[in-house]
Amino acid sequence: MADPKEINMSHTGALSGVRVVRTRRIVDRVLKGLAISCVGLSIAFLAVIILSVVSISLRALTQYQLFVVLTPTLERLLPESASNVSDIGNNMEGFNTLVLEEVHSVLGEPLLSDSNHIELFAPLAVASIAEATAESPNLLGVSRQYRIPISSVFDQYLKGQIADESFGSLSQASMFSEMKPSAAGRASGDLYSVGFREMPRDIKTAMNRKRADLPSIFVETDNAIFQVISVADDQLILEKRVGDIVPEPDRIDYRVVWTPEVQRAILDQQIAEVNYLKRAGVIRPALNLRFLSSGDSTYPELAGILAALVGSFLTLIVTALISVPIGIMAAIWLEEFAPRNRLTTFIEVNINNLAAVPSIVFGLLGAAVLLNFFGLPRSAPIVGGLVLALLTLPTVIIASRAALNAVSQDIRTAALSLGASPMQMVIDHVLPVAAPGIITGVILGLARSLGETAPLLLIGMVVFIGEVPSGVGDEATTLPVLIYKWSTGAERAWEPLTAATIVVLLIILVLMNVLASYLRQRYERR
Amino acid sequence: MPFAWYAFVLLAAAGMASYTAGRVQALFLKFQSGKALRSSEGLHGIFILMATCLPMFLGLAVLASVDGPIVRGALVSELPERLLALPTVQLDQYLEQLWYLTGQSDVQLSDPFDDAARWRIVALMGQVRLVGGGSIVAMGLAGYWFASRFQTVDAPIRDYLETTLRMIFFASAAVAVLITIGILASLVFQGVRFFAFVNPLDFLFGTSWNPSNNQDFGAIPLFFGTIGIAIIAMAVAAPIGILSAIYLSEYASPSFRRVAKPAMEVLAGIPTVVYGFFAILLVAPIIRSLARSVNQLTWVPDGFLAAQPNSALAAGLVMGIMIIPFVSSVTDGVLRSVPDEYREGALALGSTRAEMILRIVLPAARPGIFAALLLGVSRAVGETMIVVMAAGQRAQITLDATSDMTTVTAQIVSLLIGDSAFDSPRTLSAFALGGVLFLVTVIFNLIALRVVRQYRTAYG
Amino acid sequence: MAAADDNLSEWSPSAAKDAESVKVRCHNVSVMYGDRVGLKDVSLNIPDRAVTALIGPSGCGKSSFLRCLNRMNDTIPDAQVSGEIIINGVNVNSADVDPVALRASVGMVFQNPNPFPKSIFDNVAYGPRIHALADGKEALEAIVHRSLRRAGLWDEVKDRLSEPGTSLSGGQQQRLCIARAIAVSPDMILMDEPCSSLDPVATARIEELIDELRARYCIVIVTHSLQQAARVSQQTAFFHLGKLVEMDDTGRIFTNPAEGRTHDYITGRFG
Repeated sequence: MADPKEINMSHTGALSGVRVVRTRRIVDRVLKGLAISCVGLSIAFLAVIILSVVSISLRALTQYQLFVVLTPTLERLLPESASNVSDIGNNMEGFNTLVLEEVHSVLGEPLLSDSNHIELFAPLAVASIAEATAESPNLLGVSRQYRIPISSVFDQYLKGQIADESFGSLSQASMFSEMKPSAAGRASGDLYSVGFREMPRDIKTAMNRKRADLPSIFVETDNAIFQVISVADDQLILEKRVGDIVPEPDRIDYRVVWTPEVQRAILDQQIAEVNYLKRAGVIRPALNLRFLSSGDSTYPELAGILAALVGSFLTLIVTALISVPIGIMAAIWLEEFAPRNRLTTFIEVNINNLAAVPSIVFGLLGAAVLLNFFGLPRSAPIVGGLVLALLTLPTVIIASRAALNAVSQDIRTAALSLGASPMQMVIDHVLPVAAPGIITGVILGLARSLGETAPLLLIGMVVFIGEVPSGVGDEATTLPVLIYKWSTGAERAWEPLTAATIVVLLIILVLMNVLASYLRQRYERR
Repeated sequence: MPFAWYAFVLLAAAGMASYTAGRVQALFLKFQSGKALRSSEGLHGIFILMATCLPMFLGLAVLASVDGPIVRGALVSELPERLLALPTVQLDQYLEQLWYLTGQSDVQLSDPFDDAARWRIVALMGQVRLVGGGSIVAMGLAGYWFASRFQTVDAPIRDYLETTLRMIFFASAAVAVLITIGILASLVFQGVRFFAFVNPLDFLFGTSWNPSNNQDFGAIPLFFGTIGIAIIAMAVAAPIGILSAIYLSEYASPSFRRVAKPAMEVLAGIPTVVYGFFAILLVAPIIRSLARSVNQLTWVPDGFLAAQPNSALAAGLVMGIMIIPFVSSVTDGVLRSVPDEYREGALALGSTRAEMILRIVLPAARPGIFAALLLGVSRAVGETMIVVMAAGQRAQITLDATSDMTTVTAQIVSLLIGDSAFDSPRTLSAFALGGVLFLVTVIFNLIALRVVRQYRTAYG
Repeated sequence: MAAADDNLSEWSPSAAKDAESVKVRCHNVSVMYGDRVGLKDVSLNIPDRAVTALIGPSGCGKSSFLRCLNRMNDTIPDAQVSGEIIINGVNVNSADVDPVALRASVGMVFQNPNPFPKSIFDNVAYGPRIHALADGKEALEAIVHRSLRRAGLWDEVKDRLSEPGTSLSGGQQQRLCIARAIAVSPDMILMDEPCSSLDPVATARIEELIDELRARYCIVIVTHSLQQAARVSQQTAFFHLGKLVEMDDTGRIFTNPAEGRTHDYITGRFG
């Protein structure tokens, strides 16, 4: 249709008195340009939304974990008051001590207790180990490697989310030399100096910053991490933060943390220790499998979507069990049996109108009627599913009607002429032909209900669910509600988790849509 | 849910028994009379099954929804004075706790009275279910007895079944009306209770909204925020949606259309909570920093823009993106139903394509486009998650779109998200707001549906 | 191809006797719709101030040919037109001709009356407005009134110019479309089965109108009705299977055609 010839015309006068004025052609071009850029813009919005969510979700793919060898023993872990071996499962403190001892054996001394802000790992992080040990006591007395997710703040730091950093190598540095504490003036630890031929530009820039936002500079070797406290012409004055001094290390690196200490959630000392543990191989990145296998948690590094996934599934089952049969039967009545009268028109208007009523109104209905009047349990998939079924019903009816309507009239005539009753005609001949179309519509309607959030908030589904719900009467939450809950979390660590949950939800929705369009295509080919 | 299991087993057993009984009875009749049955014995079986199980199913549904309230009523009548003297909220909490504890039989209660009351609940529940279950079985037997009287050799069992099915189908269609009635009833009932506390005029025309003190319920700031954000959203969605539809229906090649149209419809399939996340993640910070840099311009007074982390502008823009596909797909449908003869006529007179679109096609499609916009506005007004997440909670009237605002839907959520003791004006006000929302969107929808229908008959 | 050339040469003597009056010269015009051939190597001349009828069975390419003359085939995706169509000395099929301007000088009337959903006045005024043919309101009114008079509709609609064009009867609507086409002062008017949806009375009225308009315009009419071709046209071209079979004076075609196929079609053996 869009013929370029139509635009690039110049020859006119010879044919008639009409001249196609420049402005007419410009208007034509402008309208077309505007129109296509609007299509482009819409698709660009889609791309930006998907890409931004996916790129953030990638940060949740891995998490930094402590890889420690532990030897849980009965003597260390069984509280004196308790008699049962299964009580080990509740002794978080004992396991915490085991892990901390192991960490301190690497760090040299219990330094982390000095940093008063955050713990290296959440006390609850050992819960799964404790439970596993309690369940199978043959793990007792055995030395095995265990993995414990570190606190989200450290995790975020190591992923570069908390502080801007630059690294480099002090390639031409000379050996360390110990300094007398007095030489540096203000002494709080062991002071050393390191010489170099050329000062790296990063350090030069860092030292020239104003005092208020002075970056922190670290010098790192495989055995120790120092913090730079001052710079002379040809040497850096260092204070040891962690580790043991080796006079002639293989390589000396530096790290400039541009974000000043007061502006970040992690202290200089903690940065040194975490980096030391990472260099020592105690902290390593690993796939975040817990995200798919556990319920919600107050600690981002321990939180997972399994409970919400199961909650969504249970809710979807309830929705489908209610809305699909009722919707299809209603569509059959309207399309095949309804007399053309006021009552039918009224029902039709009702359905069309309900399809456009804001979803939150259905939430109000659920809160007032299902919770308050019928006294059904709050936060339960049965209530959520019911509300979403009412919400989805008009969509299912409209889609099923369209599918029934598309069935050729010839089939109906043929069936009736063979002496079938109208009900036999519908059940034996019309429904089988319309079935793929109906199923397609049903899947799309259910997909929409799977992404619904607002009505579920009003019936109390935004609750903390750590345990996977086992039935439709249990307290539960759903994926979209979990997305809402996590997105309002104060810590930035929730952000990648939220994005990853969205990706999971979108994948499910895409699969449902692919299934629907596959069915539609098969249907159309027939 | 053991109750659901009992119900299921009961229904299944009754179903199998009645089906077999109906079938055997039919075979017996056939044998006895030596004539062929008018309807097959299988249909006889299904007929008896439906007559037996339908009343039982309805009875179970009723029992499941009323057993709680009945037990509760009985328990309250037995409670001592000291508990009845408690305020309703505390009494509710007390009962809810007792209820929860009935499931925890291994937990010892310190208070002997509470312990006794807990077991009393279990006993009462047992009684109610026993009586209910008994009457449900009786209903099933009655249904069976009633239906089996119709079983004769030449009974038109098929007709009976078909009539029943047809009635069930009709009842399904009537559910839509029930839903509307349910919505109206809950909004009106709770709304009336709310207006017993608050003067309707103060609600509709008051300018101060502060429900936490159970006093200030002037909803004007919410209406202002709702309309403002909807205007921002439509300012994005209307031009982009309509122009996209123009491209897709008037310019695009069929192959481009095949790709681009579903791609745009994906936008409509993204859950709104994702849009909300996108708004707080990307759009709100950008708007905030832009507003800050505007504030830093020399000729702009200090703090001219509020530059809040949540802003009406962020919510409105993202909502606009969400509404684009609704506007464009309705408009596209409308444009495609404009007959091609108009286009040919216009082109044959020497129109450029733009003149054809602007002077002939769009004017012909005007009512349909109006309906598309109305549906878009209705969606913008009713949209919840984006505003809950990105618009803010502060009820204020300001023309500064970089400031946070709140809307009717956002307030409904924040009023009801906690708990649902339906006795304070605070929670009840959510229903009054819901009523206004429902009324407005229904009016918009009905107008739009009517316009679309008339439009369709015009070009039928 | 050979047949077409023969026809052309056979017809040429009559064209030669009045060379000035040839309005359109077509040479080897072909139309492809994707892979499908719509029209193959058609060459013919169309006289000015006369009615030329294009006849032939359905799908013979007569409408495709008609739509070449004002480049309406451009609006069909994947339609390809080749060959020369020279109107007033310009090859309108060449890339540097603006179809917008071409269509302003070659009016077209369609099978089904298609007045715009506007008032009668606005329907006729649409063309003059977009091409800015009138200076001011009076001039525009004058054009509209003149066009309606020429289309023989004036007496019927002069009191209801502001009513919608769709409120007229089918025949009136078609005459409104003719008036709409006349209003841009075209050189030619193309008519694509203009009477096929009209009753006999309305058809007769349109045929009369065509006869009147012949004095001012070059008219090309596609018609299914042989009687209509015989009644209104001076020249007749017979198309079959996407090719021009023959073209001659209408009288000769209907009484003594050169080609057997034409004879068979005229006498109703096929089509």
